[in-house]
Amino acid sequence: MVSLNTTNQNSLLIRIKIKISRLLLQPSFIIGLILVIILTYLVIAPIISIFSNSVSLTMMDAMLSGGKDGAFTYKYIDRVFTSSISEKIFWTPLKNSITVSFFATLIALALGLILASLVTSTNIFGRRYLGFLLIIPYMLPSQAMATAWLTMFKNRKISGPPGMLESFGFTPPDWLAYGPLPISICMALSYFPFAFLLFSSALSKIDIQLEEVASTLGAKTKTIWTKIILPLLIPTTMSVLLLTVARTLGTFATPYILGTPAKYTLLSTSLYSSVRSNESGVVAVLAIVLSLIGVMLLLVDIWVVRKWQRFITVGGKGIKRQPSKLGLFRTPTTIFAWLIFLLAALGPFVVLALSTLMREPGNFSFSNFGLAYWTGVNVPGMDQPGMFTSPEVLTALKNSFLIAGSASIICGVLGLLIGYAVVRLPGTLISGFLRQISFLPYLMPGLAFAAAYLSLFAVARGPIPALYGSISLLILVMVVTYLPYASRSGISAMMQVGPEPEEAGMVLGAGFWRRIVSILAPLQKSALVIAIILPFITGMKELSLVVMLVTPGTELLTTQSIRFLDFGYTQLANATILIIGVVVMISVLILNRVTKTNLASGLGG
Amino acid sequence: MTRKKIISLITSFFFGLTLLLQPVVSFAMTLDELIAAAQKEGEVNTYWHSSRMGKKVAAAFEAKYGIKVNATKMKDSEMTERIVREVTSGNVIVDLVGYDDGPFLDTVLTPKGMVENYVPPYVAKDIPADSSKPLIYLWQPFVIGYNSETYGNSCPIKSLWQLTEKDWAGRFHMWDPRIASSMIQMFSAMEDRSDELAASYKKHYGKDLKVTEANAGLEFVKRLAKNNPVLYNEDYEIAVAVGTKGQSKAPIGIYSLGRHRENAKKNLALALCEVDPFKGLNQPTYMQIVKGSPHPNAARLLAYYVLTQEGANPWVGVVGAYSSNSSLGSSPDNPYPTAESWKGTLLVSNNTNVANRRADLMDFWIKHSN
Repeated sequence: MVSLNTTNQNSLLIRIKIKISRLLLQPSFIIGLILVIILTYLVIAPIISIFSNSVSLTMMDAMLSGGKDGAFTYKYIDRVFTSSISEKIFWTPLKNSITVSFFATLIALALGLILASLVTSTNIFGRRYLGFLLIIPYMLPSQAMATAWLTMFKNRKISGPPGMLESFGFTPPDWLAYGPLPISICMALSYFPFAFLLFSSALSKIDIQLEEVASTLGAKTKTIWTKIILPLLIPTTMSVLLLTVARTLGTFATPYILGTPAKYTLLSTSLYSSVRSNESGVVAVLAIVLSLIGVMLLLVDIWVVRKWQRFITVGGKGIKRQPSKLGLFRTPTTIFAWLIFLLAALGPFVVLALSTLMREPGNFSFSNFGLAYWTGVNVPGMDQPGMFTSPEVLTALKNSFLIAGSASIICGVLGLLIGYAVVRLPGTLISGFLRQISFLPYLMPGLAFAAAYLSLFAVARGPIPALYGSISLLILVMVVTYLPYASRSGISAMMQVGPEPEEAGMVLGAGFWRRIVSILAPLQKSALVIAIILPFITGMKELSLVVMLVTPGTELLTTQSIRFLDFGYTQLANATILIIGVVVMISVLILNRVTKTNLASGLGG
Repeated sequence: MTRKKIISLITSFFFGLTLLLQPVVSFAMTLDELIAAAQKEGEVNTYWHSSRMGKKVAAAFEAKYGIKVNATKMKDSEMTERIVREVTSGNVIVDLVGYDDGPFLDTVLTPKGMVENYVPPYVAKDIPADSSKPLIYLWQPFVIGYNSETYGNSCPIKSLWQLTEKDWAGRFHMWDPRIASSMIQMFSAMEDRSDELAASYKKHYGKDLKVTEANAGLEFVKRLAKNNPVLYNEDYEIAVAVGTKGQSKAPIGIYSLGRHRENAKKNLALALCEVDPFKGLNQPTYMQIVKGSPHPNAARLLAYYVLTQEGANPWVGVVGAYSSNSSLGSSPDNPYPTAESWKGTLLVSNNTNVANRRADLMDFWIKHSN
């Protein structure tokens, strides 16, 4: 009896042992487990710290009021929602954010849909080039559009030097220069490439036979569009809608530049003011509100995708839609499409470039043009080397490449590893957890995330030394923030590779690393490139995430452009933005060349 | 035996004494010793209120001593955040700060030992007592200024109260009080000198001021906030907004007097407003070594350097600032030769009053601005 019991116990123990050792033999399990531990720390910890910051007395307030640092308090929640200044720091900004997001999304959606239809399904002139040219606005840092707008439309009601239009004799009215209208337009022009890309890829996936059947049955082009194509685009439309709304809510540079002079505050700028005035409790509360809006949008997205799934058609491949002939409309539609390109992509570039070439703003005489701000020779009113000779620009360029580069490589590899673990451990807790947690940072506003990182990693914690002031902190925060892009593309790429090739390798005696290097890596080359280049592009343009974390010596191009603005060197700031734009554009060209795909596959609908 | 004991007692007494005296001894380093110690450290990091630390002083200091100065210009709210964060985390990056937030320094940083007040002994005799604890290195007037091309030789307003009139709605340019503590310091000083504000109102309008708030200072702040002033993060932007030539309705602004030095270089037309009762604020900038600084000797040497004529010149050699070192001259372009000669026309805040009132003043401002 007794001995039997022991054997039972023993066999149970042995079985568990066998199970564990089997799991341990399975690399996907070990990788999954390690990833769970790392991500829990890097993603969950900052989120918890934001929540706890919202209800604990900050160090500053404790010092000023004599309370205890970290004591529980409703003070900040009260301050944001019910105090005498809640109207100013929360309710009005909320209202403004909703207004701006609504109009920006509407314009972006319409532009994206119209342009995608024109480029994918009609014979407008230059459609091959437009496919690339129309996504250029996405490659410019978000302050580019706003700065260019201001350079152009600035009026002197607010005073200072004239805008370009004003120096030509036309004074733009206030509503055109500052506030909700320009913010909505600039955001729409910055974000319509998302809509354009997603609609383009959706349109090219629609089964051509549906249209052929309809037209055989005598349906007119108009009927085909309204009864077949547009309804099929509804899920994409919802995705675009939610993506754009989420983006516009989180954008900080545009409302900061165009809203501040008119005191038009959005939630993101209110958050920034609170950051700048060291109110970390208020920052936490506002960040939570913004994230909750993000979560809500995500839930709606999931619901819509599920509801409309049945409308997604899988069609025969290989047949490309014949571009429909536009006839009389060919010229006007071509003009429209190229006009949007001019306004959204070329416009900001030209305006910013012009501003760096003019010695005195607003003076269009020939003698006023020159390369002074670039070469640093004979620069008017500036004791500062030019772009080509400035050590600061060089350092910032180096840092940007180093930080965005390492972050994106780490991010890409992590993304694939997450994909590997998620796909190879289907139905396990680890898989579900990794999938969800790697997407969480997408919902947090960058500023809030940065604030959390600052408070978490300023001190040494456990094995991790104090990272404040080091570039590792900047790399770390970028890796975590861009993980959603990388893990999404990693998961979807791994989905497409069955376990068979790997099993074959195993049979032939290939070890884990050998399988990775010789089987998986070649198969996933293009996915890896996308998972690296997308975070790289975003990292090169990043401002809000890093603006609080840089210290002397770790400046990035984006923060250096802000420092130049602080010193009043507008031209140098604009030149820095231009450099970022060019670097990003070259990266995208490389992406196109290497993967023979466009950005759409990475942004994923 | 006893002799041995006595000897060892005496030795240990002296040993202890030297230990005790250690800091004093290091304070009493000769300048040459300090230079040598600083050069051993090789570099020094600063957060500074003014870009001239990075643009001018850094190069001159490096040329003279071979010590590299890494200077970052920073608003005081960010500086506060960074100092506190660095000191509490033990990961101190900055050595020396040029810091405008006197109230926070007096009520938090100094009492908590987060900064070290170092008055360079080589210039100590020329620094007045009221500027040495904590050490003020520079007095910078922030003045009300106007555009002399648009309005000619006299300021378009005579009394500060005109800034609250409809005519000047949206046409007064100032720093964002949420970011620059100077504005809160100014509001607090206005509370302190409410009577003069009320008197100025009566003098200008010929009737008594109707005070609906606790005092005339607050009344002014409220009316100013409601009159839609334009807010900036940067002093430079205010100066450009006010001083750019070719404006028909140029605004009025408050900015640092030092901007007047750029009139020629940047083609601006800035001029001082002789307005009643205050022409602006006299902002003291404090210089402190941060506790646990990685290059303390280089920081001390730099602190000394900016209190010498050569090191102070980027500020005091041009219009707009006065060194606390009374032996140094100031630029002849200044409207007044010394900080004292402005008499009472510049507001000077009381650090304790500001510290007590700042949260309320800030909320008061946010509540009333539109």
